[in-house]
Amino acid sequence: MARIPGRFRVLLALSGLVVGLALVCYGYAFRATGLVPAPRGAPGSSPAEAPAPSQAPLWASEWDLVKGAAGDTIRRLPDGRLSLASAAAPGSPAPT
Amino acid sequence: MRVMARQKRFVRFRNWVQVAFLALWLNPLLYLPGVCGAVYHCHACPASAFACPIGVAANFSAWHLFPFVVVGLLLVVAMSSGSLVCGWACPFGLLQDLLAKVPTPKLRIPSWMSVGRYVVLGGLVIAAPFFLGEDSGLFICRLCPTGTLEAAFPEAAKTGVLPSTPRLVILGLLLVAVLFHRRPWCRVLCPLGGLLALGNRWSLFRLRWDEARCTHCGACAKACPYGVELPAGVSSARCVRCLECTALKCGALSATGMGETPEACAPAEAAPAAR
Repeated sequence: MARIPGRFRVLLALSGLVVGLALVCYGYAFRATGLVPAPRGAPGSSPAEAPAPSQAPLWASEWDLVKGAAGDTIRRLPDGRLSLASAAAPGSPAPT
Repeated sequence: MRVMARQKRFVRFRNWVQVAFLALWLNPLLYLPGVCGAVYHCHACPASAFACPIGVAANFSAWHLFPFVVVGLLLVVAMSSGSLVCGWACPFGLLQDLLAKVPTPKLRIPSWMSVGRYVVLGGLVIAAPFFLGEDSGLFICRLCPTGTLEAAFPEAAKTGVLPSTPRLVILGLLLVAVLFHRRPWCRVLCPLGGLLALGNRWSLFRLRWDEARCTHCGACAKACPYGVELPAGVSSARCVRCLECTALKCGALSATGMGETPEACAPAEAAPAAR
């Protein structure tokens, strides 16, 4: 296998780190697509044997962590899109 | 030399480091579902503290969304340490390491089988959820042995509903395989390990082969529990960075950080000889 020059390798690794961090920040701060599954053992949160995808809320949101909007959850709309819906104030604007 | 001695001592405590990380990943007192852990564990486990990056990626694929956080996190981890987390922090790796202590003959896994990790990644994590949706039987989380252990069994204890047959078959086969091979999941099927290992060649933390010190005795190849072709394959994607090879007496293989490039690490005695 060809040897990679050390400086080039370090530069590449650092570039990867910067791009990775930028993606994480972007995902957390500006996009609902930064959302990750939340409730432990909740239906649809993957390995449960009899998932009920229609049951909402299935997901908590990183958006909540960033914006401090506790109680907001992600719901799947009938047309398949995802929506940020607040339990306290239904119909709050969706970030997607 | 002192650094090498430190490394040797540290490698002996690998299992304890893995246990310490296990307490971090599976911690009922900590609950950060909005954060992905960089290891293979199930976020549906009643004790899990972080989300599983593979589970998140599969779900996002089913939703036809790009998982920025997961991709970013994996890029950061792969570029900083490669598959170091596989060897030192993964709870499923720890389980396999502990089961490997059962005194059964350990068979070699052919190197071509590591391609299976990318087949699982492309097929069960990305393609199946993307084209068949999250209810598909080929969705990775419905087959994942970690999910069976960490989530389906606790769920079965709670509700009495047994895990599905494919789940039980896969877990059973894997447990049998673990007795006869070292880390079969990590080396043949783990999509996360496959992704992180891509960074082994480029990461800031890496293994270095000092050819000047090497006596080509083959001790490192014998010492590698996972059958990596050492020393030439020191940056191989099959390495899980357990660092066992760095604890050998010859010191030809060592772990280096960002500041030590191959040029900077060249042995001092080699320079006058070259002149």
